Amino acid sequence: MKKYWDLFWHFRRIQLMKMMEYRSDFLFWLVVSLMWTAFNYFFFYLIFGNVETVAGWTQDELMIVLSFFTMIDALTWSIFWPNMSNYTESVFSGGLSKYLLQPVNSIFLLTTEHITYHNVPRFFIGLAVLIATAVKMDISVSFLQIVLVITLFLISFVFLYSGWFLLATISLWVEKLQNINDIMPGFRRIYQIPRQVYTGITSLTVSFIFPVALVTSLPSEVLLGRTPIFLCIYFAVFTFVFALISYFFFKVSITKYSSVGG
Amino acid sequence: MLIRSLQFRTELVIYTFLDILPFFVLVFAWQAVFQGQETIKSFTLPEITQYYLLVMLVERMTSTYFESWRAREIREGKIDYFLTRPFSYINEVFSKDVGGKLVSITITVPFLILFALVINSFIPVSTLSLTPEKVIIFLLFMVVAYVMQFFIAFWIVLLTFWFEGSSGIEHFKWITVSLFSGSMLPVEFMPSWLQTFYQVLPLKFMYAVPIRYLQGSLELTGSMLFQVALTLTVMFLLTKLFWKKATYLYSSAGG
Repeated sequence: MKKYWDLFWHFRRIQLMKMMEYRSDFLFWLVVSLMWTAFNYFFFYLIFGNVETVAGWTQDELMIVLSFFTMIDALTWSIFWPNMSNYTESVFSGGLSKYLLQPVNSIFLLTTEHITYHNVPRFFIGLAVLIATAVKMDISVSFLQIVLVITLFLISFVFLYSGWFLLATISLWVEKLQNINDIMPGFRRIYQIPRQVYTGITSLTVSFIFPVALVTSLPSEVLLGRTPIFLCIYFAVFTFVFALISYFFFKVSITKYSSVGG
Repeated sequence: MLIRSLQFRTELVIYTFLDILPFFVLVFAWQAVFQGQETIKSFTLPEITQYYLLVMLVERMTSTYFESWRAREIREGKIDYFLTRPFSYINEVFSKDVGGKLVSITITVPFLILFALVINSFIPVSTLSLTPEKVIIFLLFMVVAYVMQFFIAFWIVLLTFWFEGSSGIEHFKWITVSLFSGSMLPVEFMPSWLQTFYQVLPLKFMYAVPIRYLQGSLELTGSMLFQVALTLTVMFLLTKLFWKKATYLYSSAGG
């Protein structure tokens, strides 16, 4: 375990050094990240600012959803994007052998080797807006609620990771699919707004069949004191099964891999 | 180019899916906003839906995505070839991008039009009353919008000469274009301070003006056309100047 812990931090240091190689680029990305955060809040303020409630959510409540989205999004771009891009690229270039031959779990290497730091402030902005909105709304939360919110946030993280990892693993079955890593970021749009906004078959699809709409809605609902207990359990079980599928899919798919290296 | 594009059919399907997904989410968001209301800021829900369908169409027809890899090309010193040949780098970037764009339009735009027709059965969408004149002017605007997008994207590429890396700068383009072109939402929904920028900047000719014109809610004026001509001329001259300055800075090593 200690080996993995050391490796994890060693990777973080290397990535920081790499990032500082192009300092102006790093600063640009930092500004860009902050601009996207402001843009997201502003965009939904403009749309939802026209009415008092949207699908039963008030302006402040929507702000909570958007804050959870901002935090999840920061992690998405900081952790998932660089690692999954590297994973698929290494499959297409034959560089995956490097990860398979190390005396370390290859999934650990593929998941933790890379990170980008310019989205870190974005996470804290989301957290700050979340706390500020909760204070403004005078929400009183119990310790149990906080634990549940954090747990659901982590489950959402695992859910997105499993989805992304599963999609990236498809690259082992196809000859070339450069934009496979654009699919999961595409789904971000769905959980940018509360699940109640979706109706009919779409609601069923994004809340049950592939419950991506629950990613931000569930922690928000729990924080607001309207815990949909069945959905929380369903999401947790779904994510657990989904993570297992993703893992076993990798195990099966890796047998298809043929390196091009010499 | 066409064969190469068809070779990667799955990629095209994914790109089309990724184009359509935000549209669906926006439609649901607007449906929720319009709940119990007939009009908001003079727009009905079918008109808003139509607006975003047209945004999707314009985006597919005019947007450019070459910034990152062209910037990397410059950063890695791979443009020597064009500096020593009687075929400029701008021409190379432009001709390749136009070629790719035409292929992309040929494949995806008919699909998007079909999608718009099919979606009409599930979601209320306003019907466009089209005349040949309107369609031709809209297409001309698409050319203008593409050229503007190209110039802006090329400026971003050229910034690589000044900065160590410029991969983040393209996001400034996306945010600025989203805010001031009308692709994010119709100008009527923008706050007054944003509307002022929108009126002054020429970015509105990329989305809002052609879309509102096609929807029949905007009349073109002489001053607008003058603004378009002036914008394109200034952008062209700036690109020339920018390129000249940039090549002075360029240095590469190799044999």
